[in-house]
Amino acid sequence: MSDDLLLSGGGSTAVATEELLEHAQDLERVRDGLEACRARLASWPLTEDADARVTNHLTWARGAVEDALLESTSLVRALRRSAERYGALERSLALVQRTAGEAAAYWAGVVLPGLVLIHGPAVALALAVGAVTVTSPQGRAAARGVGVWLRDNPAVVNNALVASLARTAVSSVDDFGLGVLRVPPPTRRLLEEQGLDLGLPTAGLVVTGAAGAAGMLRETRVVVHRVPEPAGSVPAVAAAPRGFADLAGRLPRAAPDGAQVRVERYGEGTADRRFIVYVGGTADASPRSTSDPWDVTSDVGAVTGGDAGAVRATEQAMRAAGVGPDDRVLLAGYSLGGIVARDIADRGSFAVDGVLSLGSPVGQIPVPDGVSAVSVEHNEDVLAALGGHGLADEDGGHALVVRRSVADELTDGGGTLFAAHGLDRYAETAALLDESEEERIAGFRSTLSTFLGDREQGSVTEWRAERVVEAPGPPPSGGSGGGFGVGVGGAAVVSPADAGRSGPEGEGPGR
Amino acid sequence: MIDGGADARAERELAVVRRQREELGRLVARMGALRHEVPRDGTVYWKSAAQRRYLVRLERLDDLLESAAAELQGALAATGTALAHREQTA
Repeated sequence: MSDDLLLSGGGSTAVATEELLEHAQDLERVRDGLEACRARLASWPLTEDADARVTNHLTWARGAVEDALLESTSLVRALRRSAERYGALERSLALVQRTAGEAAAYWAGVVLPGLVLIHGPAVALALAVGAVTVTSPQGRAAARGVGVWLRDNPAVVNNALVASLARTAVSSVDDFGLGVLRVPPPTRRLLEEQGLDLGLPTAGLVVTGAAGAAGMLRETRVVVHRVPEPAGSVPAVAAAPRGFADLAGRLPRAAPDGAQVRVERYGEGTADRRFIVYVGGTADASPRSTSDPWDVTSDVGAVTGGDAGAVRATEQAMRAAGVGPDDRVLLAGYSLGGIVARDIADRGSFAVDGVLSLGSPVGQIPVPDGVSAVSVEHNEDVLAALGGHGLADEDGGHALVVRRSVADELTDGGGTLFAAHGLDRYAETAALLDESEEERIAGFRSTLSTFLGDREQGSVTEWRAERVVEAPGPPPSGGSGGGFGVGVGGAAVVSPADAGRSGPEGEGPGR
Repeated sequence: MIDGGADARAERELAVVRRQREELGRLVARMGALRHEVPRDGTVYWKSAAQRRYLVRLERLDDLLESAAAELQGALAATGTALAHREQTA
């Protein structure tokens, strides 16, 4: 059960375990083989009655082949139908969940301002307590208390039901806003029917705007530098990755002064180069921007389609590593890295062939046509669920989504905070994907293989970015890209020799 | 003339049986390969009743393939016997 992979999307309306789909593929091969056998048995020389004993055996053989063909055809249909029904059921349940969540969020939005008016003093008191929580040492202690509680009750954030609710809540944020704005229900429905719902970007602007007022989630410029290789070492090279496990195994892991982005360059010295870019996950869980752009500020910015230092930094690292706009690229990312990867593919600044995201909340980030995308999510991973429900196929939601339950795999019974989100767990799931012959999973492996062709070895560079956090004060009199404002940022590259002593030279606004 | 016609017919039948043996050799190999394609030992994620029915049908399919393979094997052996007999007669 724990090795079961549940597949959806990727251009199909079916949802099923990878094993069931593999069975269907195997049986289709049997059926096709039997059809070929039947055709041979029905053609010369086997139709000629040259010997009675041979003819007798052939008659029985034809009957058995015909029966086997009927049985295999029927089994294939049953498996495919089962997958389609499962898909339809899952879509119906998701629709019910989403509709109920949106309605609840809308009416909460309608009611909440009224409560504020009626219970003004109480609400003001609650807001004051909240402000104290955020800003004062005592408040921070209280916030730490929440963290302690979560650590004591980690099952809450390693829970499939909580993940599912989180997915619905995120998808309903815009409806809450419409409720607050008192948009009449018919208008709200009309907006949704016309595809004009506010969506995560607007919600992101509201959240970052509100958090910015409290000194949180503020975007900054970033400075990118190459992580120097150890003195005296030979330039790093890598063998071509052969599958999902290789890609997962090379993702940068969060470490002080460690790389956040790894770029592998294949086809050195030829005009037809290929690049594989690996992007690591969130390293700084603080909502306040400090030095590491792989932080919550980037998480919120990237997942809502806003400005994100990690996206700018990754693009800058790619350019610095020699990736040109026409060079073909394959991106792999974990957690925030997966959001960054999908965001970069969506922007279209680079010629992206494929994107693999592990544990990333990317449900609402469209995949451009021609880009092969696989998103791996654990059922109990609450953080991956924060991307909301997936987009419809016509809106660019054609990534193959692979889900797996790791509830039985958490060695301490899920006693570690966000254990289901761990990179090691996702690396295990990636290895399971390598064992699968399901056509869509095999298709992505084939994309990787075709992408690299006979390029068997690549050069490796690693990159790290730092935020340029300036003291609050009046805005600078000139230049661009400076300051704290939401949606403003830039990136600069510092060579390895300059790393650590160069000043923050911005390149102008991010997006 | 009659003997000549019988010889011609016997030669033609001999040629046909030879071609049948070649073709059956290929079919027997193909059928063996197909039997290996049939899924086995699966834990397909279904509830027990459907799973049991599915596994029973997989077994039935395998039995049918086995029958087909056995008949083809029998036909192949029969071509061998027929060829030996006809060559001996000739």
